[in-house]
Amino acid sequence: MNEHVATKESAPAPMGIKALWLKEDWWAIWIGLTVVLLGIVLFLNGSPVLKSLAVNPGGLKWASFDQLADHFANNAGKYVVQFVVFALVFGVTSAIMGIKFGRFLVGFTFLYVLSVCMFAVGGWVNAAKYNLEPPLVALVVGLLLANLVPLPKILDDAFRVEYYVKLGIVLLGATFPITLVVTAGPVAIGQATIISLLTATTIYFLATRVFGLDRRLGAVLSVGGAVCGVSGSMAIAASVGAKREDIYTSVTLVVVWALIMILVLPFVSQALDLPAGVAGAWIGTSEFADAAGFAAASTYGKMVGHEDVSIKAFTLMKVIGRDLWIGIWSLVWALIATTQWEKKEGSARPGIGEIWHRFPKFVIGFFIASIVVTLFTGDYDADTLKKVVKPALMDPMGALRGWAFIFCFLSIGLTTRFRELKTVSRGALLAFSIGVAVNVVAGYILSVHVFGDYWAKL
Amino acid sequence: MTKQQTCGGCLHFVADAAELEREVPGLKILSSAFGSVRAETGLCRQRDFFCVPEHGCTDWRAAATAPQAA
Repeated sequence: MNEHVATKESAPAPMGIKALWLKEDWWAIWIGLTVVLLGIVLFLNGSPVLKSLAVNPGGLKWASFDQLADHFANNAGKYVVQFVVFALVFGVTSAIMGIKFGRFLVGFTFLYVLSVCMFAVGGWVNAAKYNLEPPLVALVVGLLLANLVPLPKILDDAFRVEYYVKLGIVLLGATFPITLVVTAGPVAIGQATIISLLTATTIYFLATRVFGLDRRLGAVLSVGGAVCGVSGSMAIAASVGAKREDIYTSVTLVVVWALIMILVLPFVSQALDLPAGVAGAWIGTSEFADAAGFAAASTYGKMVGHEDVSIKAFTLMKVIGRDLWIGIWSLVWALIATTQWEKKEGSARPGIGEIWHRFPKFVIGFFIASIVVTLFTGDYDADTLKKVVKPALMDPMGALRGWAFIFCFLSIGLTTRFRELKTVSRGALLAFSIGVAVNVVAGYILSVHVFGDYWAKL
Repeated sequence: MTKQQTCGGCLHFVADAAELEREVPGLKILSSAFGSVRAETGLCRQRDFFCVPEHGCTDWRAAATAPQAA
């Protein structure tokens, strides 16, 4: 076999500064922080533009189609402007990253119209009674369309699950007090550390020692199950020299289990009567993909009427706790691969910079948005915050976050074509599934029994 | 292998995000090739495995134009 090595002296220039406009993490930061800063400026000038831009029928509580029609008739201009702004922002930034604007626009128009319908369903007065939570409805509708209707391929370019969820997370920072991050962060990181180590070692041990799978596949599955799904697998793919087939296996297992958990965890949490914060933390320790986890946490939050609480607990646990492990696992596996698996002279040794290199940068935007808004609102008394700042600034930013999330939830369904998922080996299925079971049970014990009081008070 | 003969300049190396998502169907369902965590990781079509631009091997073939890592 021909030798394949990494040589530092032969390395081409890294992407460097180009990542600032070629990676969706950075665009999520630029757009999210622009919304936050522009929102503050508009608020200070008494402008209703932000509120107008965030219009949606989600909070309408309509009881007849006439009411719904009236809403759209009265706000038609706002919806037109909203569509144009969204299409330009997402379309132009995607074009800069390499997706053709025309193709994106076609798909985005479809996605936007569907999203309006999802909000309208959620705004029905009886939606909660029938568990018609927009995240769940969006996911199911997306899945049905993707798997039962022959949608044109041209629509695909606008179904950017990760881009939308990253922007949603940055905007979430605007309604997330930094003080909560500071006080709750250590518990979240501690719980995430336990889960990450336990799940990763379980999957890797089962995959390689019990089921005899290739160690590269074992590594890819272990990080996928323990940290961040397919993104985690991709982060270490080059470090361990994973094969294309290994990533296919990760995709299939992550997608199937993530969907099962979106559909099951909210209802199990409801059956167990878990407080929103506890359920959010449990979902954060159980779900491996941010987008899927937000769908589950948001659904449960809406079911119990405390969406903000479940979303906050989920964010602390998943985004701040577990996602931080991506870079660490990448470094660890790179070290194992170069020092234990393939000891070759001249091979480049990974450095500590790998942690930053693979760090999910959009998290920075979340922190900055949180700090900026916390500092800005710190000057207002509680009464003014509630009666003036919240309705004119915080609520519209929350509504814009809702738009980003609904685009994401629909995109999860619309991109999941079961016929395109590859079959996986029995060993990989068992190793990963047992890891998921360990993850869910350990997450439950930690979220409900060990740190339950803490999460319940969020 | 010379200094210039790295995966970053190889015909077999796929690092462009949109192309990578086409090469690995399902990658964009709950992930993305446009994300920071992938960094410059790309797919070697020749050996069908993932590597980074600074890797290299004896199967190297000059790309018409160096692939853009996105």
